[in-house]
Formats: sequence, structure tokens, C-alpha cells
Amino acid sequence: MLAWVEVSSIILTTLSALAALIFVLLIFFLIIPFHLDLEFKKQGPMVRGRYEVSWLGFILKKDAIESSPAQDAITSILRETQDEAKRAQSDEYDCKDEAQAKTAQDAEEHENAEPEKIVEKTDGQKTKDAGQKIKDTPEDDPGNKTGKNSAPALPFNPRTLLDAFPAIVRVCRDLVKSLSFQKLSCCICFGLDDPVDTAVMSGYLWAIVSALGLFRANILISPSFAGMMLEGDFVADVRARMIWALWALINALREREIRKLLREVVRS
Amino acid sequence: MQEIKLPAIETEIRVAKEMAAGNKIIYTVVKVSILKSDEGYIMGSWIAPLAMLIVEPGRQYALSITGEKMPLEMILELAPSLKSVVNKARGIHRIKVT
Repeated sequence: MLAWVEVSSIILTTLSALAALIFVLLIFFLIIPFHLDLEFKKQGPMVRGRYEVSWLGFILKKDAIESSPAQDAITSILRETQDEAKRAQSDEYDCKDEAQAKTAQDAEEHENAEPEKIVEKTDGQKTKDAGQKIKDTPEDDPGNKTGKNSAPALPFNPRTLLDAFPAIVRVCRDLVKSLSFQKLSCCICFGLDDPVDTAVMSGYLWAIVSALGLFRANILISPSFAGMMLEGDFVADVRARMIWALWALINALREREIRKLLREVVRS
Repeated sequence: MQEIKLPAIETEIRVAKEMAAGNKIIYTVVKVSILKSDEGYIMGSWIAPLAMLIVEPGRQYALSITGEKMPLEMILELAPSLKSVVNKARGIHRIKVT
């Protein structure tokens, strides 16, 4: 009997020690921050980058990303070929238009009408044709349009997402709080095909940087109005404490709207 | 004493992406101003429209943003890249009178 009590107490002590150990490890896991080291650089067609995740000085994951120049060359050749094909197609359309206009003009000239009227008629016809062309171009492939642009069915009601939006923002804010930037440097030079779009996009980016309170950091966003381009580098050393991320997740699950959204996603 | 330098403003004239309205195609000429610091960092930028080139089937004309009619030559002088657009439009709608 005494032996059984002793054995059971030993088992209990071992189990409680194990539980305490797991608890301490869990606390360590939550309190001791993870280090995330990121470095990306894009210059011309070359993209280089590396990332490293470490905890307590141990490297958990480490990798380097490098775009192969051969791949980029192939991509650029493909793009050029596509552009040439497009140009050829548009030229073909232009030639067709010209030919149509000429034939229409010739036909009307043979009808013994006054020259001014002919010009007016041809103009009118052309206007019609051009109008049709402009209208037709988007309607040219309605099948494709419906096939390609048919919006995929959302796994939730958009109304639910809208209702949950303030809660999602709160969760994101809590998640951002769990991150502390030890080093942050971002230098981007970008340009879109339209100078107006470039200006609007740079406005958005500057607003985001300001809203995140990163304006003191070494962040440079330079718009280039000369054409499509993206160059720059991004270096970040981030510390993430899991306790705050866990807290944010618990808070998220306490929000009724988010629970409803999750339920809808799971059901679909 | 350190010399204080005022930021410089660089100005460029660019043509925005064309817009189609019915059978008209509108090209907007914009003035892009970039505020640069002494070190060359961009501190801000703004865009102001100057004029529009309107291409219709059979005719092309320019309008200043204030609504006044402006000669086609003036807009082409402002944005020489539009020359190709005008030439193309003229080529398509040219009518040979014999």
C-alpha cells in the first residue's frame, strides 16, 4: 500500500514537473522575442534577398532568394514578342480601317454625287465605323470577359466583412504592436505607365508610411514619372513577441463580428 | 554657420494615359512638379493639367485646361510625343480627293 502511494506521488511529481517545464517553455516562447532579419534588393532585372528567423540565438530558418538572370532574359524576350504581336495586330486593324475607308470612298465616288456630300458621307460612315470599333473592342470578347473576369464567389458575405472591418483594424493594430523594428530602411523608386497613377500611388504610399508612424525611419519613396519601373532595397530587423500576437488573436476571437466572419468562412 | 538651402523644384511635362469617351480619345498633358531636397531626396510631388488633345474620327484639336481653344502646333510643342498620335490619326482618316 505504502509503495503504491510512493509510486503515485513520484508519478504526480514527475507529471507536475513536466507540466511546469512545458509552462516555463511556453512562457519563454511567448516572452522571448523572435528575430526576423529581412533584406531585399531589386536593381534592374536582378532581385536579391535573404531572410533569417532566429530565437534565443538559434537560427530556425534561413534562406536566400536570387532571381536568375536567364529567367529574366526569357521573361523580357517573351514580353517583347507579345508587344510586337500586339503592335502588328493594331497595325493590321489600322490598315483594315484605311482599306475600308478607301473602298467606301471609291464606291461613293462612282455614284455621281457632289464632292462635298461625298466627304460628308464618308466622314459620317467613318464616324460610325470608329464608334463601332471603340464600342466593339471591349465587346470583342464578351465570352472571354465573362470567363476571365467573373468574380470568384466569396467564401463570406461582404456585409459581414464590412461589419467586422473595425474589429479587424483593431486586431491588426494589436498585431503591429507585437512587432518592434530594430532596424528599418526602405528605399523604393517606382513608376507606373501613367504619371497620374504614379502620383496617386506615391500619395497612398506616403500616407501609409505616415499612418504607421514610420516617417522617422529611413524610408524613401521616390516616384519616377518616366515610365514603368521598380527599383530599390528593403532592410528590416524585426523583433516579434508572441505574447502580444497571442493577445491580439484572443481579442480577435472575443469580437462577435470576427467570430461570425470566421464561421461563414469555415461553413463555405 | 551651416548654410540653409531651399528645396529645389523640378518640372516635367508628361502625357497622361489616354481616355476614351464615346468615339473621342483624350490625351491630357500634365505638368509634374517634384520637390527635391538638397540631397536629392523627393519630398513631394504634384500634378497640374495643362491642356488636352482630343482625337475624333476625322479631326484632332487641342484645348487648354482653361477651356480656350489652342492651336494644335502649340500642344505638339508642349508635348512632342503627341506628334505620333496626331500623325497616326491623320493617316487613318485621310481622304484622297481625285
